[in-house]
Amino acid sequence: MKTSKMTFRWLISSTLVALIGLSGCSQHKGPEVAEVTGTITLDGQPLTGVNIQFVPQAPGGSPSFGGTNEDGQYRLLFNSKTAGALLGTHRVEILARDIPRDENGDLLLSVMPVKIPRRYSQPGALTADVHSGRNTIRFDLLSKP
Amino acid sequence: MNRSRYAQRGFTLIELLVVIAIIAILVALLLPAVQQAREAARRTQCRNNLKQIGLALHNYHDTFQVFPMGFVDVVAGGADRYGTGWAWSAFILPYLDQAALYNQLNFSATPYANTLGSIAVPNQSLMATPLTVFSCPSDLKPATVANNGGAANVAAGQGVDAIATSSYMGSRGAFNGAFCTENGTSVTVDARNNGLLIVNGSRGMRHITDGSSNVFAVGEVSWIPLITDINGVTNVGSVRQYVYGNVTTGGGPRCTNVGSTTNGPDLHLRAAHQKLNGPQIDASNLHRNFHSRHVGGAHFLMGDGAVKFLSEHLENTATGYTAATVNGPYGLYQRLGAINDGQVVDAY
Repeated sequence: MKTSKMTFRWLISSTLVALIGLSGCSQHKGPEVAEVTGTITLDGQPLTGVNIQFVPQAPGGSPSFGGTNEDGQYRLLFNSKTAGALLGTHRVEILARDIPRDENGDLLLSVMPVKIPRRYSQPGALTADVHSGRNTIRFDLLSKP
Repeated sequence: MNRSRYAQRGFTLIELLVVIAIIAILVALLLPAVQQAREAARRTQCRNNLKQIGLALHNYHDTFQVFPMGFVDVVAGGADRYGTGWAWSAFILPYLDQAALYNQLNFSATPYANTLGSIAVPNQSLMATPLTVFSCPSDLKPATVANNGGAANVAAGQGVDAIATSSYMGSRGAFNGAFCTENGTSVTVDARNNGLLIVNGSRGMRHITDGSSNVFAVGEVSWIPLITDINGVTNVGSVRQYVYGNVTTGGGPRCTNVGSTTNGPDLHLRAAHQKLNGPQIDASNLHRNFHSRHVGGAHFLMGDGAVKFLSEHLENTATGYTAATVNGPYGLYQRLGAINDGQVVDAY
């Protein structure tokens, strides 16, 4: 009887020690982000080869980045390990990619630049709301308003 | 009688097992901690390097009343010109206990390429000298890399087989983009370069109107091998960070170059513009921003000589440069990059 009580006490205390120890292992994951994917089109055609940037409008945030593939689809990355964007309203910037340059810094003229209508590069021209959960945000750009 | 004595002296099997289990749990807790202790030691070394660089910059400032130029390019067009192509890290060598190396460098020539004829190519072999103070142990960079190497190119003064790499770069300000504007035969440096170390100019303590503890002087840049990113864009990464200086393969320096596979001031200076430790995709412009291999952020040397670890989640509005936005409003990260924007920097 005495032995089993002692064993029980041992088990309780050891479990407590283990739990206290393990509680130090939880890692701070950073701010909450939500997955954001979507498509960008220009006059109904998928807009390929552009970069997209979501900048939170609330103070204290940091941006997320994406770029479109051949189908005009993008997926935002918050940092090198996390996909998504901070929750809330974002200023959205759609930017043409840099034209590659050769060793001397001259433009490689074989690469055609992508043209994005100028009014979309004005600050505040595009915004988007990111909610918790999965977000699919589509941008349909028009070359003429 | 005997039995009870034995029972008092020994342990039961269960008690033993419990003790062993606790020890096992404690060891299991310790093992990841050992790995973290190693990274903590590397970080300490990394911070110490920045501190040494900070002391060197301040000693330079004591001597010349200004901080060194970030990068020297006096004539447009990437042509070879006497004494161009050098970066800030070469100018502070005497203050980093490298006076011998500094004295052997010929600052009348370019760092390696030199087709001017009248000057021999004295600096090429010295470029391969790796310095511990410019190597962060967490950074997995090679000690030296080739730039347009090969015997023929090197003999012609067009390249170098080994040039030492660096983990630290100067802060050019709050905005990305070309470091200069070429005007045919000369270059001008425009207002977007509102950092401490800039092309073709020296700034001193008197220019830091934001307060020297509120501005970056130098930050960390880790070596990130080029990859094809998730959108199929090639050459995304950051592989060109040299210590002493650089020139284009054609010969001279070119301060309009900002690409990931071209030589230019980006190899020595970065802007606090795109996200710190951003994701490795083309949009994040890794080759133009500060980034480190430390989890969660990077070290920065402030203008007053303090070294701080900043979170990668620091407020960042990634505001683009226009004449109207040069002094804000923009996020905290960019405010720390600019030395004279006049915006309030609160606790961070």
